[in-house]
Amino acid sequence: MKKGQVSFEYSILFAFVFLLFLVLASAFYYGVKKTDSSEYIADNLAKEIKIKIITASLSESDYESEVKIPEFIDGKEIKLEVHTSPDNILYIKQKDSGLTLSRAFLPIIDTQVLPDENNFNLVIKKSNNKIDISSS
Amino acid sequence: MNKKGQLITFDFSTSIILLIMFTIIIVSVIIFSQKLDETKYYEFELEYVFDNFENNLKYADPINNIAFISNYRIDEDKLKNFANQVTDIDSYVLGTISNSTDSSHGIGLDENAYDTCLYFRDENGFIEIEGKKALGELKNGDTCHMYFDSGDNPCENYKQATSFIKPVLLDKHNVAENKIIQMNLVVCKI
Repeated sequence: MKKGQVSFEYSILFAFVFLLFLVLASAFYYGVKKTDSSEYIADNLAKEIKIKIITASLSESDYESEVKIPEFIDGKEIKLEVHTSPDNILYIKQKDSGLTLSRAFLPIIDTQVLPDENNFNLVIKKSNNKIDISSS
Repeated sequence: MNKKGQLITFDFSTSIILLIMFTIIIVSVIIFSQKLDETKYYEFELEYVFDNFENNLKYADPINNIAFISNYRIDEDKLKNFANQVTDIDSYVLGTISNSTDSSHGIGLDENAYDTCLYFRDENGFIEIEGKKALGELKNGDTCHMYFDSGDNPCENYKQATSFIKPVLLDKHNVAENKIIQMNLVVCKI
């Protein structure tokens, strides 16, 4: 075999690997961009929920407010988790993959009752100095 | 002359090495980006520190008489009580406070992740409270007063420093002596 033929084989293999790299890189870039967008939307939702819970926490009188929870973010079904005291944390996750899109540390939550399915109104209620999270 | 089998093995192995390198780079970037995500925090809670502080003081044991701030009004006597009874003010400013019957809910910040200093100023400089230029304690055990007294920055060895100012009325229980002053909170992130 001539030396030129070796270079040709090498070029073909290198081109194949490089092509594979480009495909993986573009898939990764698309994935990151998509996740960034989902996280941005989820962050805003978590922030909105948290602001209302802080308002309830600092309210001198009884307080009640609702936040609309969407079923999907960027076409992916989401799952909302609220953990009561002592964790006091909110997670917004993708339902299928379990990927955490956003999380927020909350004021002390006394009780929470949330449905498994989304597309509900999250009800934040303060009564008798207890903060309760439920749905309507 | 080299044999064909040897030449293909060389090319193939080179390609495999390159493939492995690229795969490692991509997997590393994915893992790294997920780690960054885990360390993401909200900081907007700090907007509520004054409100949380005022709210927490309502839940302090009434017998101590330290709820010194209410609606932009600082009660000087109660402020002195607070200065004498509370050394580390982090839980009052950022966390939660409980008394025997009830407790506050806080604003979702971990008081152990921050150190705070409270001080008051007017046109003449610091207003000393029970001989202290500032209230609060830092992670190294030093008081905020020591830093402010020597002109040093209390947040010098911290990751981040945030300062908050609120105009308040200092109530000396004498209308002629009451005056508007600045209430300052410095929050140092550990």
